[in-house]
Amino acid sequence: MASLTIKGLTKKYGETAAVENLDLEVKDKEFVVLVGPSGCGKTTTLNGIAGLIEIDEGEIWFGDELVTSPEHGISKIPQKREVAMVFQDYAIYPHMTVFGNIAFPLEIRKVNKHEVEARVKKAAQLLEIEELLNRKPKALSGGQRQRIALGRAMVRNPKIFLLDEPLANLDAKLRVHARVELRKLQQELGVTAIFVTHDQVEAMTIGDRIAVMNDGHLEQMGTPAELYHNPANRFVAGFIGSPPMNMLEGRLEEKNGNLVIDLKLCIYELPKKARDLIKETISSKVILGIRPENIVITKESKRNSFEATVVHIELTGKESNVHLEAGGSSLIAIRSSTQDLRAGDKVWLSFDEEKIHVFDQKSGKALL
Amino acid sequence: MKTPKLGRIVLYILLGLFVILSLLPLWSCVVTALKTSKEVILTTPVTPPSHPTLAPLIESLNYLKRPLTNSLVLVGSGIMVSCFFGSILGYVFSKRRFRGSTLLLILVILCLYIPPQVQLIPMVQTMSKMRLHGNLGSLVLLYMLFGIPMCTFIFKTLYDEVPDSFINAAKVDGAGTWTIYRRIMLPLSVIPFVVAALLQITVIWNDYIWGLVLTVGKANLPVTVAMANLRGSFVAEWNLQMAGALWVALPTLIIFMFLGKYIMRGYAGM
Repeated sequence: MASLTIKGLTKKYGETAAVENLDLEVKDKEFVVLVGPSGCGKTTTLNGIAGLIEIDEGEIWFGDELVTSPEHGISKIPQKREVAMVFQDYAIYPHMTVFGNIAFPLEIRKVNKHEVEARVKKAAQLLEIEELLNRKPKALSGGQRQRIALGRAMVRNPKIFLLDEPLANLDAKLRVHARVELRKLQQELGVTAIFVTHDQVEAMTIGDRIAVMNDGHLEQMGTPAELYHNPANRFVAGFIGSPPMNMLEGRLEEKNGNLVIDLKLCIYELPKKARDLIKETISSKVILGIRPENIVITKESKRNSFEATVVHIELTGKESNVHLEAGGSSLIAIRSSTQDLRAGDKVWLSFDEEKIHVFDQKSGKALL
Repeated sequence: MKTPKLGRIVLYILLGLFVILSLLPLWSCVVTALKTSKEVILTTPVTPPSHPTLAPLIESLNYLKRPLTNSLVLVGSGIMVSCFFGSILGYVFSKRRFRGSTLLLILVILCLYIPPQVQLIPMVQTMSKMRLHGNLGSLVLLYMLFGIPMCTFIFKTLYDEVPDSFINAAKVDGAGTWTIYRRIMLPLSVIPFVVAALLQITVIWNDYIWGLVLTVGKANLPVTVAMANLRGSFVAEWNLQMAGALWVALPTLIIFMFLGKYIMRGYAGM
């Protein structure tokens, strides 16, 4: 088992950088999720860790062992790195039985037969696929294939587990189940795991910590709660959470010694603490962000509120998404009861003052 | 039941005519092979024999026995060697790319487009220098080498279909290049081997020009060249020739009947 440190990783394809100056630290036995839209460089990073691609700059450390450093001419081949990887398509060899697939890494290492059998059996037991061991993978389901791939990764007792969207090919119901199983398995085995996904819900539910990537950069790294409640920038705020955070453009102004945002819909007074936190110059363009569950819908006007029209109400089960329209911008609010609301109603919206976010429009950085 | 449309009827009549036209040579070949020399001269090539005889078939088989064996040797050795190298080269070009490998692949494929006519004289000279000219060894060597580009191309295109994740997974699991070839690629190569072998069989079996130029003496001739010698010195012995042609065509005919779909895959590069 080991920790993983990445310093200044850069990988270019021609002129475009797939990953640029990425720093990442994963603690021993931690489950870290790399999440971001497709093409953000998360799979490139994973392949770099596995040694499947050569990186252009930076260093990768497994514990205190330097495994990759183009500067020092170090690039350990993937065969020699003690990582195990589960691929998105699982890479199950069709010509081998399930047993053969799981035993493959051990046979290559010339582990003796009894030992191989014992370890494969143990893994199969843990994954509940014992009865499949003698079958060919052809007729197996996605969930079963995923377990075989996990089994193959497990038998080697690797230092680091790399998982490249292993749940993407499962159907929605199975995915939720597999998520829990995977998490449990990682804790039982006590391995360090790096999990790549483009699905932020998956990232939120499975990771100890999440690294949000975009355009080859690390946008923010933190626990799910940190990312949700204190996004470092506009990208993270918009990417994490479903339905996404509402964003309203405005201009920062000063009124009676208090900071306000001119939203055009209303002059929104920021809480007192904003005065100390926001150092931006007056009249700079900002974005006010508010999560759907922090929008308060009322029938009468209140302080710091503005009028909106209910466009559509979407029942998602326990709660409902209320789609609203105000002065040309659309917002989504979440409410547990919507009996008093109907499409077309005029309502007043105000925000939970503690939960508002303010971002600089140009840099996207969080100001509040 | 729906009454067929006029267009359909015309189409089927046309198709029927095409079938008859394309089967006509085979038909006249079969009927001529069953006639005596006298009957060949007295009747048209399409009339069925009035007194069918197996004599021409037996006589031509006797003559072609040795050349048939020669051609089998050529096909067998050619397939084994070119498929072996083709498979390894295909693996390298498909899954183990390196700087300049695309250029190399293009060069290998370009070899397919050099017409044999321009190679005839240099090849005869080379073979004589190697003291192989005139005997079967020259053809064995030639077909082994000439089959490699085609086989490489077939293996490369079919190996491209094997997902790269198979290779990457095996690498991470500790397998080296050769182990990956032996444990992963080779077991997945049944179809490319069949396709490449079939194409090589048809190419080598039907080839005429190299056998004509490089071998001397009946003991060394491949079957196509020997068949041409059946034509007779003073009179055209059509029945013998047709019987010989049947023997030569038979193996490829059987292969096409049962394994034709693989040959289609080979030509389509799928």
